[in-house]
Amino acid sequence: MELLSRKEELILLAIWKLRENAYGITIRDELEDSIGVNWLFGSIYTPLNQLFNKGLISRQEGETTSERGGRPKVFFRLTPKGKEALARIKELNSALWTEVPPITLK
Amino acid sequence: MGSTKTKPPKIAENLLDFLLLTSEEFGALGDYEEQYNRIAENRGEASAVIWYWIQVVLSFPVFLYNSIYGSMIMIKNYLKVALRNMKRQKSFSIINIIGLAAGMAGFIFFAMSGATKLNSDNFHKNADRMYGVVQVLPSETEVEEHNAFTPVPLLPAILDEYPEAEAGMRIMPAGRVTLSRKENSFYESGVLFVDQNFFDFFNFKLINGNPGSVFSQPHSIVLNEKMVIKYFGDEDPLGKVITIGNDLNLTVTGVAEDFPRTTSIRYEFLVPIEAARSITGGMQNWDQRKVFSMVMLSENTERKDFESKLGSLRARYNNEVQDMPNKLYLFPFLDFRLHGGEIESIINPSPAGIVYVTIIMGSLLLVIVSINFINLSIARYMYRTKEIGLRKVVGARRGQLFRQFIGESLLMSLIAIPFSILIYETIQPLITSLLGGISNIGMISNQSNSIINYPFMLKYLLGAALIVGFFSGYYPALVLSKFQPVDVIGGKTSTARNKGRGRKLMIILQFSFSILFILIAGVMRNQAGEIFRSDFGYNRENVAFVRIASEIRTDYNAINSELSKNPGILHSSACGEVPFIWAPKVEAIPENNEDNAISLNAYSVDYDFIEVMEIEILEGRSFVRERGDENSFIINKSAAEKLKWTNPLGKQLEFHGKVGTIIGVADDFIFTDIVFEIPNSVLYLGSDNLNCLVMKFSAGTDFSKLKDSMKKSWTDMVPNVPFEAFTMEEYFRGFFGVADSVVGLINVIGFTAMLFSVLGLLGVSSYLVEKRTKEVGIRKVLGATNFSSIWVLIREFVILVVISYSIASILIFIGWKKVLELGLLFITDIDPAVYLIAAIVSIASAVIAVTSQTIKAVRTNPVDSLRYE
Repeated sequence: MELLSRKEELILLAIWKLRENAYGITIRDELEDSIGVNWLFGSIYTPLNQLFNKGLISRQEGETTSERGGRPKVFFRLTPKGKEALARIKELNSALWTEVPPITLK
Repeated sequence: MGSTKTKPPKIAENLLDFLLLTSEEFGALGDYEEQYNRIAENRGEASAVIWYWIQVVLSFPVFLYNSIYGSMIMIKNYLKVALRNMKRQKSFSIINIIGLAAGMAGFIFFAMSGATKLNSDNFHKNADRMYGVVQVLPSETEVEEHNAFTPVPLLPAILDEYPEAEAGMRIMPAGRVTLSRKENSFYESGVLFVDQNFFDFFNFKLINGNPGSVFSQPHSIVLNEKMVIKYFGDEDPLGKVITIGNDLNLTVTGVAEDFPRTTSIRYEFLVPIEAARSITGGMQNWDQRKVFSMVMLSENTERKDFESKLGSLRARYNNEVQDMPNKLYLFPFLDFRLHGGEIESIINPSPAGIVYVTIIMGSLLLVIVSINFINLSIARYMYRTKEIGLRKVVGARRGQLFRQFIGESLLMSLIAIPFSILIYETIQPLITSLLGGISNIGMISNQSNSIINYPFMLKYLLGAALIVGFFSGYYPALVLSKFQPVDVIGGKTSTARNKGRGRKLMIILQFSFSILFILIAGVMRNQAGEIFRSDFGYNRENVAFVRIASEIRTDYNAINSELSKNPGILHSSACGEVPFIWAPKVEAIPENNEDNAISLNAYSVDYDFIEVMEIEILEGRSFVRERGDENSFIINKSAAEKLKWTNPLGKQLEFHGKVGTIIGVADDFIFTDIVFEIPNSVLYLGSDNLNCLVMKFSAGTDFSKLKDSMKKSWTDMVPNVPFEAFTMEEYFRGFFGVADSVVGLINVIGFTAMLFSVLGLLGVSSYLVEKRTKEVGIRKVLGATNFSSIWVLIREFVILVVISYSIASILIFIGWKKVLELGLLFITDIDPAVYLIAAIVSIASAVIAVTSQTIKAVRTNPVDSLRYE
């Protein structure tokens, strides 16, 4: 199985969580609010490109708004292959974490 | 909300659009703008604009990354095409890469020299809080004297009185001293007396020994690695004894790393300042200026505030102090090397101007290389017009093509990086050893100049490669991406004529630079030879010098007569210094004319000196031992003229409280280096100031043998004193040899630049000639001879080279006129041969290069060249 980079994995997860409303800004907000990472603004596009090339996400142009200088929003969605990949990541993670002694913070 | 909406700055938006590449498909630009509006709403428009610009800057590295590796499929194709092209045009690619590599290697060399000076001393942890104490001294002239040699007790007084001064350091150079280890002894000038906390104050590294305690005993010494090898070889130096002067024994307590090039404080030996008390006096006095005093201010202290308090220190100077400083101030340690030229101190200044000039020289090399790259690229890309046309037809946008070409030139310059390092590492030891000959000029770092020691250079190099790649790709990319597919595929690549102006300018620029380098080298070689041949008023041949240390000066007569017994020595004498770069200025008062003191160089010599040096006596007589000439002077002709006596013989002069009678007038001689006029000089017998033996040996004597036998007699008499002997010609060559190597270096740069200009010309002309093959065919059909057809083709290029030659030689001509106006002695007009040689070299090489390309075109049978496809 082809492993995703951590960045790609997190973005994939964020797109899944956002369902219908996943585009650049919301993905970034989601990453910042729920996961707490603070990446450079431009740094999500390269992983998005990778995910797209791997066929894990699809993109669709949405409505144009004036905040965006008349440019359309580009919405992302998981392809079936993407969902499969996400499920496998979850499986893999829980498999990894079984029988690991609990880590407690001092 | 709708009403408050603003737009990000247009330029920034366009830039971002250009830089974002594929991200556009993912709505990036819109996202940026939405975020911009959010920020504008929350924190105001100004911070949104700033944010937007930061994003532009931040996306630049990503762009570079992407323009090389970008979208994988396209890049793979680009790379394949680029590599295929490189392979197909091997010679072009090799010329290009080697040219780039050579240029960048030159850049490393110059930039290193500049960068080490710009980055001077900041490896010390608290360097920005360190200052040197400078005294402003009263002076007779208008200009104030700024002096960083301070009394020894000054620093303890500062530390005592002001708690803001956290730490301090005193440094006192020992000058030239004799150091001995058992039977080996040497003269050393790299000894510094320093305070105990030297290794805490500075961040110099100790290889051996404890930084906190190496100087806890006053009689200790720390050597650097180079000196350990000189004095101890493979032995472990720790605990061994080195004697300084006659009898001060110091124990080795540590070994320091050789000082790096980035330090302005240079040392080979370090001795605690307490030990200096037994060697030199005045260590408690406020009236002797001996040490460089440095203070480190505490973190929140402002220099200005601190300086204003320093005035009260003047009370500490006794009243007897002659030169009571008018003012004391602090000068930042980090500025000393570049901007401390006006201050007398222990730090050898490297004037900022010179540092910038070296960096500009390096960048100039990059410019030449870039131009070469552009010329070759344009010529080369012309073969690719069909590829460009096809790409456009298939749907490539201009921006994509643009990026492709920039990417290719970036690839080329990145490939050149390892080669440039290779070239640099090969020539670097050579250049270092050439320039290392200047041992008389300060201490040169022993640390190798290899780039490994200066990792910050890799950043400079990468930067240079990216800039060169970008800029040399820029113009060709701009031109090529503009082609209209219809024209290109239809075969109408008529850019040759109307776009030729830029290319012509490039060729002229390139040739002017290289001819300029060749002319400069020629002029310098010419002048160095001129100086070497000129008559200094004495005979330089077969004269040897032996240094005498001050501690054996009293035995000078015995040593002199013993050494003179060696076979081959005709006669011997002594003098104060080697008569070259020797100018002890005095104010001499002529008899009965106290108001008209004149400035003279007063040279202390011994009997027979005039005979050994073969200085001609014009009037009167030379010094004669039997006549007791201790109070006699001999002046030279220009001094006699300056004194305006009709008959100077028998007249009296006074200087340094010494009164003497003039017994002779010698023909003019010059003991200084290059000067503006022949110095007025006086010779006197100064038995207490003789530091060199001078010996004339017979022609045909093998000097190395003579030196060995003299050394034997020397060590028999004074075993613990170093023996140093050399001939005058060696000494001379030591100085002009440097000039020679500089000339050599410029020559190499000049000819390399010329070579690349010619190769560039080769590329351009091969393309243009090919385009004109049909024209030549028609000319031949109409009856032109081979020769006239060649001339038609090369005329254009010969004119360009002649123009560049005129530009370069006019520049040199004007520049040299300015030099001549300075009025230096021995500097003559430029030999016309220099101009001639440069003209022949440049024009001939251009003609050969272009002709080699045209011959094929001219030889082709018109039937072949005019055949339709």
